[in-house]
Amino acid sequence: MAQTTAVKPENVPARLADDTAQGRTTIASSVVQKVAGIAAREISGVHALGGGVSRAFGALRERIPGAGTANTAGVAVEVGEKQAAIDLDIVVEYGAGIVDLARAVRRNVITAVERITGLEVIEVNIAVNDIHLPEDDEETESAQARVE
Amino acid sequence: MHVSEDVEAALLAHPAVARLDGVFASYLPGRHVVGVRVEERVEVAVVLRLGRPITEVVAELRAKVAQVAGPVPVDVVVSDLVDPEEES
Repeated sequence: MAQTTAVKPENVPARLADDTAQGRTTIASSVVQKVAGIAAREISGVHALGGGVSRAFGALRERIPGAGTANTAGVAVEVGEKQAAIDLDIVVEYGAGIVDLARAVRRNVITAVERITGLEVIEVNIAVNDIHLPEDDEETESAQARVE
Repeated sequence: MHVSEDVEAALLAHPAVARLDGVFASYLPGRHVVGVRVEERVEVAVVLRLGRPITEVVAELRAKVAQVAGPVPVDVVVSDLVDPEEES
């Protein structure tokens, strides 16, 4: 009886293919983190990353076998051998459509991480922690001048 | 010249390599070569410049290392990325 062989899906990144013969490639999680952070900031309407507690962070742990964890400045990543999961905490500009913005951020992060690292991104969770108002930059003015 | 120094030179000659990373090193008389370990396998740890797909760069690095170290497996650790514009 023939052995059942797993059929490889077409869209799996061709990474680690000949790793045993030629050597392993290890990509540190800080690398994935940086790529994801840069890709997220590229989208206009994202004011900053971070700003809240990375609450969803713990929920992802142990989802990917052999995963390491890393978390700085609003980007938490988990990197396995072939896959990565990413959590982002973002502060948006006032006026941006958050649903559309989040979709754009997610798309850009996935594209960048998959292109640069060759890892398959299984999910990008986005937490919008705060809205940045233009007035926040000039807060001294808004506090005064109500009653003279 | 020790093989590890040849490997170091080959890696640093690649435009996408910013530096080698010091998670391990080869200890030689008088100096040590950070980020290169040559035994039955070759292990290297690199910090790359941002921009090109890591898999492509790693394949090129592996080919370069094979030229100087011979037909042994080359384990590549990409330990960090740097922005080329922020480098001084």
